[in-house]
Amino acid sequence: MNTTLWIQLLGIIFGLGMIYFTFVKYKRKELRKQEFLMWQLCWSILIMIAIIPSILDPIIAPLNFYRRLDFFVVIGFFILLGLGFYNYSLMKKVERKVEILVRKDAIRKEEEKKE
Amino acid sequence: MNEFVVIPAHNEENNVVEVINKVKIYVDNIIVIDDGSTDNTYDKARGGEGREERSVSVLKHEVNLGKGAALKTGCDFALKQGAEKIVVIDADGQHNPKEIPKFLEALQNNEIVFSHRTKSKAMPFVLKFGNDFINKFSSFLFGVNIKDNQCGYRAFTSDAYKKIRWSASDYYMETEMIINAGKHKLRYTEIPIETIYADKYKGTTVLDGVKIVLKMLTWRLLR
Repeated sequence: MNTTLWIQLLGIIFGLGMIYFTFVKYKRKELRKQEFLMWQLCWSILIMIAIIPSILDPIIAPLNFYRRLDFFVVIGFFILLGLGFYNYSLMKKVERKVEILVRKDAIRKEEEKKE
Repeated sequence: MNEFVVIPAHNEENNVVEVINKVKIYVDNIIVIDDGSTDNTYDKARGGEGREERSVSVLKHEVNLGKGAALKTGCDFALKQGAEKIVVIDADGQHNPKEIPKFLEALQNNEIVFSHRTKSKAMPFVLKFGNDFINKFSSFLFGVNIKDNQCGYRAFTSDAYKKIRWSASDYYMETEMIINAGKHKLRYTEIPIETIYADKYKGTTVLDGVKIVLKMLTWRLLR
């Protein structure tokens, strides 16, 4: 079995695993239906690309990538950077909301005690 | 004049009562903010069962938010109680409350009073080096010459507080306060204070120092 096939197999196993975890999250009502469908679509695309990588050739060829894998590494890096920024801004937003809530709560409770 | 002392506290069950009792000699209105402590800081500050009548307001952050957020809660509450002068002091006992009158006196002619720790051998080397670096760096970036950028023993009028109200929830608030004071051209003075280093593992760490420097750079470049 050559390296490419191993990578394809790993991609398929990873995709199937993620489909299962997404399903469990959905069943636990931690994801809404739209979110569940969106993630399932993402994992399905990943599996499809892992099985038939040549479907990406029309995109990869004009970009002059030496190998398909290089394309995946570059795109994966961009996606990770984007997700990193998204998570950072989301975390900051939640942090600010928690801060406002906790501070207001502290003042309200002490004011109630004083009354 | 309505004078308030605001004490942010995080896991200070061993020191907070002593600090409150010492502060009480000089000022009647005390506000303690328990910033999500996991020990008995809140109960100790309240004074235990049957001692609720003590004129100390103890506010509790249900989760730890950081010194900046705790001080902001305390100062906002002080303002609601009609404070005209606010002194902020640490709960770990490193600031001597007997210096409170000096701060209040200095506030007669100033809007904000900063303090600087007198250099002593007791000051840990890392702290001394980090402090000097932050002081020089902030002076270079913002042109504000404060001898001790990170000393948390300060006092300000309620009007000044409205102008210097910081957004940082961590130790950067000390620097942000200075920057805001400079921006609004507040009348300020600096007084020397004695510092007791009781616990070298508490307070600003090297990582906090790095964060402060990075935030100063971001502020200078982006604001």
